Parts: sequence; C-alpha cells; structure tokens
Amino acid sequence: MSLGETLHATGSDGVQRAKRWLELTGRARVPWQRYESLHTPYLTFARPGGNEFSFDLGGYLTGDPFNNVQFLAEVKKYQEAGDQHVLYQEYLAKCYRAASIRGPFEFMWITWHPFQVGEWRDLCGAAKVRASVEMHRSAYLEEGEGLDESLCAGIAERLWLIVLSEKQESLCLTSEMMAVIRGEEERRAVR
Amino acid sequence: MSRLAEIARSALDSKPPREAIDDITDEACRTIERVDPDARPRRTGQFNHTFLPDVVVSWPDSARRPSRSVFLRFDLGQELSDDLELLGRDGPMFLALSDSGSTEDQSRRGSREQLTVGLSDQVNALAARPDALDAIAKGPHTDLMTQFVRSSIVGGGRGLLEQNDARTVLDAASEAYAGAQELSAATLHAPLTVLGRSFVGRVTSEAFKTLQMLWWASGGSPEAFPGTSESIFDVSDDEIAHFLDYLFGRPEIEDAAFWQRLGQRISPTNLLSLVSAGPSPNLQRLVENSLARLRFKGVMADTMAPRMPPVAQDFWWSIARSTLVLSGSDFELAFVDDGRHFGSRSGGLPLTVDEVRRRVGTLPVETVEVDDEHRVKDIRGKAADNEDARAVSIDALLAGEQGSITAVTVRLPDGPRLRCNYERSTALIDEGDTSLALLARFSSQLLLRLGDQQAKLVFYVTPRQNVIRDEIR
Repeated sequence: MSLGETLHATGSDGVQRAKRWLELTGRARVPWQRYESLHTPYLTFARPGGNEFSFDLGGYLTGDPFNNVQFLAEVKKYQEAGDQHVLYQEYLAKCYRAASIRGPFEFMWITWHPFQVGEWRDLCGAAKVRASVEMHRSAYLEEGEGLDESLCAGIAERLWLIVLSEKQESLCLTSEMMAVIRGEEERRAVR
Repeated sequence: MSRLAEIARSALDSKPPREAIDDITDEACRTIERVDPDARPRRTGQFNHTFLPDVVVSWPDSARRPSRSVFLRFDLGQELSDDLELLGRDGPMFLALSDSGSTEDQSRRGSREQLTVGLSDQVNALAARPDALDAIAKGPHTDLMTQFVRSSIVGGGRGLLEQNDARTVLDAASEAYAGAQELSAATLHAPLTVLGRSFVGRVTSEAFKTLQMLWWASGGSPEAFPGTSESIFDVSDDEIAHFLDYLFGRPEIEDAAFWQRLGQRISPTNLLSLVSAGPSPNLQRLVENSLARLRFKGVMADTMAPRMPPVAQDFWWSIARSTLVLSGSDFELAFVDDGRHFGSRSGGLPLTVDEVRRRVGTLPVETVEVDDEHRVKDIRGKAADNEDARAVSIDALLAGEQGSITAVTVRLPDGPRLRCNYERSTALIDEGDTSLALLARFSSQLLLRLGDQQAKLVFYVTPRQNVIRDEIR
C-alpha cells in the first residue's frame, strides 16, 4: 500500500470512527460523509476561484439545546500533533467560507491528538478565526472582500474542538441502550 | 444501473438533503417490494445512521417471518466490518446505494474478500446491492424455488449479495427445483450448498423442506432426499396440509406434470383439512389435473344471484368450511368426502315430474321418491327375479305419476348409486365414492338448472392430459 493509500485509509477509518462515536452519543445524526463512492454535495463548497473543498462529515445534532442544528466536521486521525495547526488554520478559513455561503453551521474539529497546546484556549476564539481567514484570504475570500467581524465572532461561538481517544470511543451507549432506542425507532416507523 | 442507485445519485446531487433522503428511502422500499410483494417496508426517518435502521420490513405472517431492520449504506466497503461488529448479531440487512462493480476494482476485490469473511462470522446478516435485488426480482425463472428465493431473500437472505451472487442463487434454486422433480440427488448437491449459504438457518430449513416435499410429490421417498434439514417432511396429514397451503399461496406454477404427480400423492382429506382456501391459481391447477383421481362421496348445491368471477374463467375451485367448492357465476357445488355435512341441511324444493324427467335424461334410475300430497312413496324399478331395485329409464318409472319428486337415485356410469335429495339440494353416493369429474358432471345436471352453462361445465370437469388453462377458459 502506498503512503497516499495509507493516509487515505487512515483518514477514512477516522471519518468512520468519528461518525460512529458522534451517533453513539445519541445526540447526533451523521448521514453525510466523505470517502464514499457517492458524491455528497452537502459537504462541498466552492472557493471564490471555482475550486471546491469538502468537510469530512455533516449532519444534525439532536436534543436541546442543539436540536436539528446542522454541523460540519473535519476529522484528523492523528497519532501526534503533526501539521494539524497548519491545517486547522485553513479549516477555520473554510468554516468562514461555508458560513458565508450556506450558514449557519456548528463546526467540529475531531482529532485523536491535541496540537498547539500552548494556545489551546485561543484556538476557538474570534481572533484565531480572523487571523486564519486573513492568512488564507486569497483562497477563501472574493477579491476585495472585506472581513466580516460578526461572522468571525459567530463562527467562534460555533467551534467545537474534540479530542478523542480509543478509550473514549468505547464510552458510549451500550448495546442494550441501543436496542431500546432502536426498538422505539422501529415502533414509530411508518409506511 | 439499478433504479435505487440512479435515484440515489441524482437526488444527492440535486436535491435538498431532506428531499434526497425521502426519495432514496422511498425507492429503497420500492426495491424491496419489487423483490417480495408481501414485504411491508416502513421508514424510520433515519438515514445512514450507525445503529438506527432506515427501514423496518415486516410481513403479514409475522410468526413465520419476523421483521428485519434495513440499514442503507452508500457502499459496502470496509466500514461494513464495523457495522457487522456492532449490529451483525441482530441479523439486519445492509442495502447499498451503489451497484455491483461501482467501486474501484482492486479495492473492491479486497473489500469483497474481507466482507465475505466478516459476513460468514455474522451468520444472519445480509449485505446486498440494489442491482442484485433487481436481478432477483426480474429473473427469468418462474418455478417454485425461484419464487421461494424471491419471497425469502429480503427476510432471510444472508451473506454478500452482489449481482453475480444473485444469479448464482437463482440458478441454484432452479437446479434444485429440477433435481427434486427428477429425483436426482446428484443434481441437488451443489444447489443445496448454495441455498444453505445464502439464507439464514430458519429459511434454509424451509427451503430444504419445500424441496423435500417436491421430491415426495414427484414420487420419491422423503428419507432419500439428499439435503439435511432441522425440520424433516414426515408425510403426515398436517405436513401435507401445510405444504398445500404453502403452494396455494405462491404465484402460479404452470408445470402440468408437477400437478399431476402431486395429484397422485394427495387425498380429498388432505385438501379439506385446509378448511378454507381462496381460488388461487395453484389450487385450480391441482384440482383440474386431479379430476379423475380425487374421489368424493357427496355434494351440496346452492344457487345465488349472478356475481363477477374472481378469476378469469367461467368456473373455479376453492375450499370453504372443509368442502371443496366448484363455483360458477350463479351457483356453488360443495364436495364432501363423507355425508356428515348433510345432516341438518334444508333449503331445496321438490321438483315436478317433468323437471326430473328433463334433468335425469337417459341416466338409469333405480328409485324415485314421490310426494302426491297424501303420502310419500318410493317407486322402484324392480328386477324380474327379486326385490332389488333395478335401473330403468325415468320415463318407465314415472309413467302416469303426478305430484312432486323429493328424491331420485340414479346409477352412475362407473357403477355407484347417486341419491339426489331435492329438499336438501344434496347428492350422496350411497356406497363408496366416485371421481370428482363424474360427481361434478352428474350432480350439476341433477341438482342445478344451468341451461347453456351445463355443456361448458361438463367440458370443464372432463379430465384430460396436461390440462392447458387457455383451452378451458
């Protein structure tokens, strides 16, 4: 397997595991995911230049206070900090672009390893969003487009930074709990 | 491309998420119904969820066929291994939204091998592609076992079902059907293996038992059937009744030779033990091919207001209140294998002498019961040398008689006496029985006033080799 295939397989595995963990909290429905043979345009947005970019997962949160709120997620199945900070900054620019086109969304960065720990508390701040969008202005803002401060602040409020671990993945609904929920769901099924 | 894959592709590409989910889930339900029209798929409102099904399929006979959860998946890739680990033990169906061969060949081969291993660990889970289900729905075969595959794959299929697998299981079903009919153990071995790995244990048992019954119906001994099964066909009356009930519930089987062989194996008691059965095509086939062999003892006649036939022919068979019923648009003849049904029956009327003369025609008559308002008397054709009744012509017997006729006993061409009671509107063989063909022919003549229908009915109940339905319509 080539390095590219290895990275793809790891990414695909991470996306699937993140989807599974989110749904096994009982608080999310995640119908859309990348690494599928079918194109899912609900995860895809156009850059100003016409090229497209996609998030890894998309769906809906359930239950108060987020009932039916849409979210998009980027998944990094990393064993170390790696280049996550670089990618995270571009991700924030993508969030800005997505929110300006089809928002609002909750935005989740789901990783298996923390990064930039020294400024961890600032990673979800409006200043970080603003700085990241400015850094990637040429790719994600129209030519001459001014930065929308209120949009940056709104995105910052909707940022989720989630660090998963294998043990945490197992801390979810038990199969008995799932069976109860499934039974209720099946009982309510309609033709 | 399958309709489901096509709709999934176009809906995901062009419609808002909720509409796309509705379109895809609706088409998934229709795909299931096309394979198995008895299936009742219901939507949960979920889509591609980790542990909540998108569709729940149930069947009217829930005791025999429990409901099954269906999980829609964009593809059947490596992710399915996780699904199997989490959900496999509940025996769900994973239905892909993409057709066989739609993913890259190399990764597909790899995942197919992995999936096959994973699915073999979860003995009750099915992972199917939509083009495979379409292939099963549209397959060219119409024999009983192919129908069995169609009606069982959604509820009881297991393993990986891609388009090639669908062809394999259909071919196996047809080969097994042929092997059972030809009593060929050698022909049966390979298809039984395929069927065994394609269905969950409960359905495999049912398949093997059905084949074993076909084997028996074709003249074989159930013990010589080569397949193993938890539930063995023991040729008891209950088992035969169950088999007949199963056959009558299936789409029409056109193989006349099969019906003739089965007709050799069953008795009126087997048929009547069903208590009731609608006018299914296969019941017509069985009775029409067994008119000379099935023997009955009596018949009750009723007339009624004209009605629309439930089938595309003038006469049809059904089973009601443990009687075999031959119906026309305005009459019913209910055949019984003993006289117990006649005990409290009433509703008929005596006939005039002229009417009895007309109905009896040239049949030899032994006795006539006449009510001349003063008393009821028996008129018997006397033999010259003893007191036994002797068959004579109706004209000779009723010469000069007045009054009304309450009963007449005629001698049938094959020997037995048939006593018609007009006050009860019944006819009963006094000793033994007779063929359904003769009983239907002469009881309709004696008990009913069918006019032009009589000739059609006589033609309909006249046995012939390899009955062709179009010929008798």
